[in-house]
Amino acid sequence: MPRPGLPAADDELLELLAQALDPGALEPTPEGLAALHAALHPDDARYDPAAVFVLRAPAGRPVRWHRIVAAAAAVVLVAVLVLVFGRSQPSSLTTTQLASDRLSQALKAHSPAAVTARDVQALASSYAQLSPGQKSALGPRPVQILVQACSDLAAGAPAEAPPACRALPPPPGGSSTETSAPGGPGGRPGSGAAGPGTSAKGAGTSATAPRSPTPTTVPATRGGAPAGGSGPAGVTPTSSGGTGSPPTGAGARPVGSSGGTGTPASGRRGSAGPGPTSGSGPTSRTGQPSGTGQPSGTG
Amino acid sequence: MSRVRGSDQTEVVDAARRGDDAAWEALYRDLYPKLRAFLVRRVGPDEAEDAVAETMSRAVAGLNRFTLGPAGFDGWVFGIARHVAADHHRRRARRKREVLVGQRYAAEQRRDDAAADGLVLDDDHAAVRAVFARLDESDRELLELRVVAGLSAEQVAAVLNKRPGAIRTAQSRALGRMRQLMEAHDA
Repeated sequence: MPRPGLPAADDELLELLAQALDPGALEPTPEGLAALHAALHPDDARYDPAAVFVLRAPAGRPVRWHRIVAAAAAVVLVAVLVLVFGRSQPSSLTTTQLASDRLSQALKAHSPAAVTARDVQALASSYAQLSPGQKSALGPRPVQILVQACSDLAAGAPAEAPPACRALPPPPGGSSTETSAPGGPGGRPGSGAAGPGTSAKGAGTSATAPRSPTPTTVPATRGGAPAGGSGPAGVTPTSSGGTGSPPTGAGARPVGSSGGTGTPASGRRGSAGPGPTSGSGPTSRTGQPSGTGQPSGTG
Repeated sequence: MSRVRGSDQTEVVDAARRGDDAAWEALYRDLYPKLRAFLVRRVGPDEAEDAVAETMSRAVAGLNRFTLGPAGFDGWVFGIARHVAADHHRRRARRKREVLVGQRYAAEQRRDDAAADGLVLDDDHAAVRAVFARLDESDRELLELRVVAGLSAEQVAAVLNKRPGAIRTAQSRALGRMRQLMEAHDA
């Protein structure tokens, strides 16, 4: 039995149900209107596509299209930069190679003066723009050349050294803190045959023969020989021995050779003196008697 | 805001078919309260706004295929809304949700209404909503299309692909069950 007020007719119950379920006056949300316009103009960027609910993140949050567009623009920008600077790298590489060649030729020709500060600056600037891979591809030669050139420029005219030199690694030994390794063991003792010795020139002087004592007059049985004269001073220009005196100098021993020895000098036989006396010639210090005066002969 | 009805709606739909933004916005504003209320009950309040937008987007994309029939423009749009709600439930089902949103929302409503059973319901509307939540899914959908979407029995028949007579019979049975529940509630 329906309670009082309960609609008996279907239409009345429908009306009551409609009132109970009436959502009230609702207005579309801005997001809903934006979604409608985005659906109407899918290719028109004037309409904010962020409100298109069908493109939503899994968590239910709206996709931030402006962030996606910004990220895509950043990617495109990076790609453009890579293309632009990627194409400029070969020219820098060529410049570096040319400068390197010029410097290399100048250094090979031993004419560091031909290396100008501009060359060094150009090489250093170009080299600094290269990527690590390109630097490794070139090898250490450009840096060696550049360091050498900078050193030469600094030695010649320090004021002309380009600023790029300061960015280079120091030359070897400049400010290195590395310690050298201990020296190796010494070599084996040398061996070798003695070199040919050269004898020093003999410098012997013949002693002056003292005057012969007064000869005693002896009855001559026959005429004596003239008194012996004094022997001439032995001068030995070479080690072959001077007359009357042996060489006194020992030969220099550059490698241990012994000096030559003088040959005994032999005095000339004195000629017979006319005097009644006879004498004997002086003897050299080590030489043979210079001679024995022959009897002067008969007085 | 004035409703777009009758011949006016036909003209507006024609303008919308030609790509008139203003015509589309007028149709949207006219349909929005009913469409949102219907989808709130179908997919839940959290997803209703998105479902409305999806419904309108599909309507925009398919307007060239629209031909004025018994369901009219409103019935055509609510037919799209039913498919949007069904797709929504299928996506949830693929996520292995055991309780579909619509069912969960209805269950929550039933729990709320059950909790209020012990109270003196001086609000007839609350009592009606509590009873309505206890109806079967098919009964609720039919009555929602009638009283929330504001469609006629002929339009509902076109939307549900049934004969109008069958719709009227089903509607009468649903209201009868609702009446019984209300009497039991008052007892």
